[in-house]
Amino acid sequence: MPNVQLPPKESNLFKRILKCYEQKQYKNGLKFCKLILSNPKFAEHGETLAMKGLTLNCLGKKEEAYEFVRKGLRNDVKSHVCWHVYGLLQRSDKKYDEAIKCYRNALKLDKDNLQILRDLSLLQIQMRDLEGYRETRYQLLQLRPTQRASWIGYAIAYHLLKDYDMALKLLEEFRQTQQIPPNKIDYEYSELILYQNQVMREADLFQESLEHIETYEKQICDKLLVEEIKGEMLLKLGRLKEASEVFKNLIDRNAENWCYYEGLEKALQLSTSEERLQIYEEISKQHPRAISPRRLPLNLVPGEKFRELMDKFLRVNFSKGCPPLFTTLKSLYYNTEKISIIQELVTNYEASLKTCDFFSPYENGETEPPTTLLWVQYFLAQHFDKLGQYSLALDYINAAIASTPTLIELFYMKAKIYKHIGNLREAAKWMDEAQSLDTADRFINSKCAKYMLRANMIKEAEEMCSKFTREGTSAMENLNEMQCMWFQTECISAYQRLGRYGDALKKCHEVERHFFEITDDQFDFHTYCMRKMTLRAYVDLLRLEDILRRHAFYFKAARSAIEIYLKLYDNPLTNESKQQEINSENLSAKELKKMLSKQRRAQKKAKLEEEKKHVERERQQKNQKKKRDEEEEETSGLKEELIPEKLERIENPLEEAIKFLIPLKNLVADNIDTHLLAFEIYFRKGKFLLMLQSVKRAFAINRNNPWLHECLIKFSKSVSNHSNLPDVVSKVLSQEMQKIFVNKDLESFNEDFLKHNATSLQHLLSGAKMMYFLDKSRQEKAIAIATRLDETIKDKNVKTLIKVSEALLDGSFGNCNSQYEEYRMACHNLLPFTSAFLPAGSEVGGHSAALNHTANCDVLASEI
Amino acid sequence: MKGSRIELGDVTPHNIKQLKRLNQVIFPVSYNDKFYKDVLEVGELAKLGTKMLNHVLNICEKDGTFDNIYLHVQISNESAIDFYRKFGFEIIETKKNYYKRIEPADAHVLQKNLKVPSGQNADMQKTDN
Repeated sequence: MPNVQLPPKESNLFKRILKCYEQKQYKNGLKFCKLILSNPKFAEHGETLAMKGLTLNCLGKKEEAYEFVRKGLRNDVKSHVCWHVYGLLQRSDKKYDEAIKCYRNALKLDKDNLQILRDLSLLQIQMRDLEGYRETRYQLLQLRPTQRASWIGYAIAYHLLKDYDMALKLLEEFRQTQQIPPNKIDYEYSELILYQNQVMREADLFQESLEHIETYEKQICDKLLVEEIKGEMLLKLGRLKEASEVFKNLIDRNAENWCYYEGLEKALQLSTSEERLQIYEEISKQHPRAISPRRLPLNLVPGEKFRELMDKFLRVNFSKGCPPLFTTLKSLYYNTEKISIIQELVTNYEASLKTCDFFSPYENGETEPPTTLLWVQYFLAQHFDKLGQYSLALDYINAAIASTPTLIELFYMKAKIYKHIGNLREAAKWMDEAQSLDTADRFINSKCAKYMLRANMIKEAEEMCSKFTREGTSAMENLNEMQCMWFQTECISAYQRLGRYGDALKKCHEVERHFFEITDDQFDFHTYCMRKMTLRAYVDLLRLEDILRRHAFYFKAARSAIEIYLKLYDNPLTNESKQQEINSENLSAKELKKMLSKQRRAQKKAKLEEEKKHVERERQQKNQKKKRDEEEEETSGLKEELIPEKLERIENPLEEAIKFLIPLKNLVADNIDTHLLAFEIYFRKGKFLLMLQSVKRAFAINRNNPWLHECLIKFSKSVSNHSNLPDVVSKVLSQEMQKIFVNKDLESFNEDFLKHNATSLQHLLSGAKMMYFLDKSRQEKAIAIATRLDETIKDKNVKTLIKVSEALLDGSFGNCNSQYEEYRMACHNLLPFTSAFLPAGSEVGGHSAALNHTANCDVLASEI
Repeated sequence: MKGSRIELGDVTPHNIKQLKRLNQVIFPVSYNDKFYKDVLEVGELAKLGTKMLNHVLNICEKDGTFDNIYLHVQISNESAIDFYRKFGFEIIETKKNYYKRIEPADAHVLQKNLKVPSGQNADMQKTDN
């Protein structure tokens, strides 16, 4: 359709439409659109239709918006306005790639349109199309050389592309135009200088950086940073004497920053520990109240000197009452000599303080206040807890509690000890006690919620959190809104243990969405930071966003999601019931009837609840939509709602798993679990080369990993079972597997693994599982290996023993109920407090191994 | 004794349980929940002093071996002096420079005679009131 030019009256109206859009007066904008379009001559005017669509989008009427914009575009394909508008629409839906295409089309039609170029550059940096970004910024610079954002944007483009020379040339050119008199302090200028200096340091131009910082230091606001840069550069340039002066000054400013001590040591190049001790002594004299010069030497010295320094350090801190004392010393606990020295010192203090008020019976002078004994006992509880001597730890913490029953730290520690013992209910109980003593303290409240989640007490945890969350919404909803991921990841694990896969997956997706939002939120900063000149922070932000999904929260959510999807692939849920198959042969007709009717009732109840929730959700959505319409805000599209029942019955679980896997493969490739999870997925998809890639990468990280061992055996078996692979593939497979298996058959490979790891229960378990897997007739022998509890085994701890017992129950060794009972009793003798091994009938510790075994577990779960 | 630092803090609905716990452990009597509700409502622990002092006097009476109770009060603390006088305490002495870290440093000694015939003299010390 040919482009109809608007006559003056309509042309003015159109200009007003654009103004209304800019000023967010959407209703007025629509009025003007109507005025133009109601005239039959212009009813099909492309650009007006497009603007109408854009305005409707801002009012939340997405579908109509697209209709109108597309219509407008069809009517006027050569209009850059239409393409621009279409791009804006796509951008508002976060379809950034599409939006870029639209902008490019718009630019073809109007090469030097500033607005379109700006919008395009924002999208390019958002999508990290750095080459494109540089080009666009060059065009912007040519069009507007007087605007400072043009120069900055162009320089940043080169910086991100690691072309430091160009970046520095541009920054220097730009700096010179800034004409700030040398005695004036201007924050934006200061930030520019620091950014320039950062680029120099990244380019390894140490000399230039040092000269630069010295030239401009009077105009830099962040005086501390100036000194730190000087120190670092002097070190890099080998000017050690000057460097040491700088670091000494830095320590005078702040004697607790360990980096300064590191810098000082590098500068002084001391070789013997005596010399190093000397330095710390001097600094400690100059800064008598600083902790670091007293703490750091403890890392350096062994034996008698260590005892002497530790004795001093401990006494001062126990007298004063330093709650995190153990935490500051924890890092020394890899060294057995140091551990025993500490133990000797502190247990002696305790014995002495109980009888006389001194650290040792042979002293006199001022006595210790009663709190000293308290902190000593608190320390000992933590000490023995770390060493795994839980009985003793409990004794000490209980003694402390008896003397000071109002100190929250004590109950916190008691809860921790029970957690390590493996009695999670008891742990939650004591954490609850701790939080009840100060209900205004959100930290202890959150800790309590976490411990409840560990004990699978999900409802209670939610109630606990609700004491601090916003009124009017449910705690779960508010915590999701606040992106409270520690809570959500703990929920994921709890739901997983309870077998409530739908609920777990919902939370996994919620966490994933947070990461998406955080990535998306950087959009506004592209303009904002350039305007405000906070360039260092801006570049840091970009770099953070690049590796965002490396964060532990994402890893936890992704790992759980993958594990669940794998389970759902192996055992899909049917549409009929959520409950396990009833072994109806074992039940009498009457019992069976009873059970079925109970199921039906439970289903009906669940359905009713679901409907109620659905109605409530709809009502809330309606309200929200109404609110939005009234506020006329720009919407970014409602996210599809997450419904647990739908999530756990997904058609293609492996595809969903892969979506979670990809960021892990890109960003967390150094964690062996990434590759092992990848293997499990590709194994089920039958993708041999990808399986090979996964095990190779895992093998490179740690060839002796127990899970990897299981994967290797499964892999090898699978390869030999598939004789119809294409030649090329077979060749590569046998070549690569040769490097791993080295001609051994699987049985010998497994035997060697068992021999090599004869004292590690984790490895023995994997080897035993594989022994059974390769030859079911060796069940007895396999179980005997896995259930070894003799003296030589080094890792007979709570976690590992629970793992073994779970394996006995989940079919890894076939049917072995009696062996499981025997094992449970033996473990109970070893670890009498651990819930998982308590005889049936005592308090359940919340471990899914026990729960999965009862037919009623899902009924229980849905009532929790 | 080495510097044992003592600080005062308010009792609020958030930490009322700590007060409960203290009372449970220190006193042989346990107060019911209404007591603590009152504590919070009144705000400034009014009447708590009376209750506690009565409690102490009861203990001494039951025990029967106490002759006197005495305590020190900073000379400027008129409300405390009035309070104790209501219970029958009298100023019997003034000690100069009794306090190390507050001004005025002098303290009155207040004593209540329990009129018990046996010769034992027990003293119950109270810190600044």
